[in-house]
Amino acid sequence: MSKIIFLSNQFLKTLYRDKFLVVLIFILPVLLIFVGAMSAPDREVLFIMDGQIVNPAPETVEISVILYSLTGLVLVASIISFYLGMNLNKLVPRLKQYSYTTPQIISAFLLVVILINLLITLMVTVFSLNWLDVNDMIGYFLGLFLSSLLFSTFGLIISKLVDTTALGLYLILTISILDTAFLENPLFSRRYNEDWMNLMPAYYSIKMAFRAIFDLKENWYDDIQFVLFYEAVLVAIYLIINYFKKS
Amino acid sequence: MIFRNLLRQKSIIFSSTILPIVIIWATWWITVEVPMTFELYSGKLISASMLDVHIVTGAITAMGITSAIFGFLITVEFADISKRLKQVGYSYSEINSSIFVVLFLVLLFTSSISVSFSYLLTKSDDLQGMIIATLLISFIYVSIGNLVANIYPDVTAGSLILLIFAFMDLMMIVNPMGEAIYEQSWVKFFPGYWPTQIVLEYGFSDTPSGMISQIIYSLIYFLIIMALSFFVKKIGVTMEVKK
Repeated sequence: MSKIIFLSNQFLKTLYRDKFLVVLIFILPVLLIFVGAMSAPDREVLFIMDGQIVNPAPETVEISVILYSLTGLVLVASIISFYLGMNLNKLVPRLKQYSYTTPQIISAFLLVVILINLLITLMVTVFSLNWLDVNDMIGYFLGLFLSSLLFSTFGLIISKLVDTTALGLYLILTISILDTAFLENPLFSRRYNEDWMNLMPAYYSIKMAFRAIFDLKENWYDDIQFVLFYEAVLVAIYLIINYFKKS
Repeated sequence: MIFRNLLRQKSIIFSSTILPIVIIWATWWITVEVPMTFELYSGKLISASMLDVHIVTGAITAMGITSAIFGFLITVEFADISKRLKQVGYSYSEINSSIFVVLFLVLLFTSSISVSFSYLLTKSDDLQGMIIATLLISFIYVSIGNLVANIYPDVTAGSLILLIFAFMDLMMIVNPMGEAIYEQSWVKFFPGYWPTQIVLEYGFSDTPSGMISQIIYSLIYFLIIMALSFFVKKIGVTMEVKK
């Protein structure tokens, strides 16, 4: 256990050494939420979810803040795990020489990722509450946290697939923004109610957040198993890629 | 040689061809076709399809992102190479001219893709405004990329800052899609404002006007950023980046 904590500490130090990433954790989500809130006009929208009209009608600013909170969160989560993943690829052989076992490395890495995601989610949740009136705080927090975990795994997968940091960042930005800011945006997405959308990574976690905020028949936790299943699939993909890359 | 060096990098190929196509195609594929109303700087009230507005502004965004990244990468990558080329007998004017030619060729290629692809997807039959706005946005964002490279020449951080800044400026702030913020008077100080106004004026207004003043404002913006970039380089405020 002490080895895992020591190693987690080393990972955190690696991250802290890159001051830009530390600044990114705090600035990017706040900036996105702020601009998202400012860009939304002051009016109510007809919002249909789970086959029912949301009543009272939400304001555009609420929807905008939820989506940009999520965009900021998943961007930071995936960039940081991508960065840690790229470092880990170089570090693993050396750590093994220092008698660290694979489960120890993985546990330490997971601990760091979960800690960072908890910190960013907490920050985003608190900041977004300026504009939101949340019915169920746990549901909203968990919706955001699970989406950050999904995209962290996604960042890890990309760290295994690309050679350069720049290409990895472009891919992360393209997919994260496409999913959370565009496709899942009920304000202007024409794909929002299509069946295949449930294949998108942020789909169920956004639903969880919406259900925790607005008055809907369904409980926020009704689809939580799909989020966990999606996470398990992403982890399996990461392990498979890891296995083939090694061999 | 410079061109070959650029082509060797997958991220360059991704950002000059795939990224603009993905951005424009995604805006077309995702956006719902409903009418929207917005006001231009000239005071005209425009009623247009949200889909068309999003496609033309998406093309500008794609161009802005690509130009910023190129301006940045070329400044960072060729700072070291320039010194080596100088040692083997090339003059600074020869090196700078060849970098400029490469930058021009890549941006010409990317802007042709952006303009023609968005022209195919939108119902707006304007090509003149689109070409001029694309050109202006390229100038402005190349200079912003250059400025960021002179302040913080780290490839990861710099390209991320530029991607996010260009996205927020062109997709959220100066874009009529971000209704409430677009109406604020201070947004005209953002780099994408005047080129976006040109593309909206010529794409959606029956009696387009004010192009000359909008071009002048854009060029002034470009010159100010270039002067700032030159000044930053001259006084040497470049932050140290670990290699």
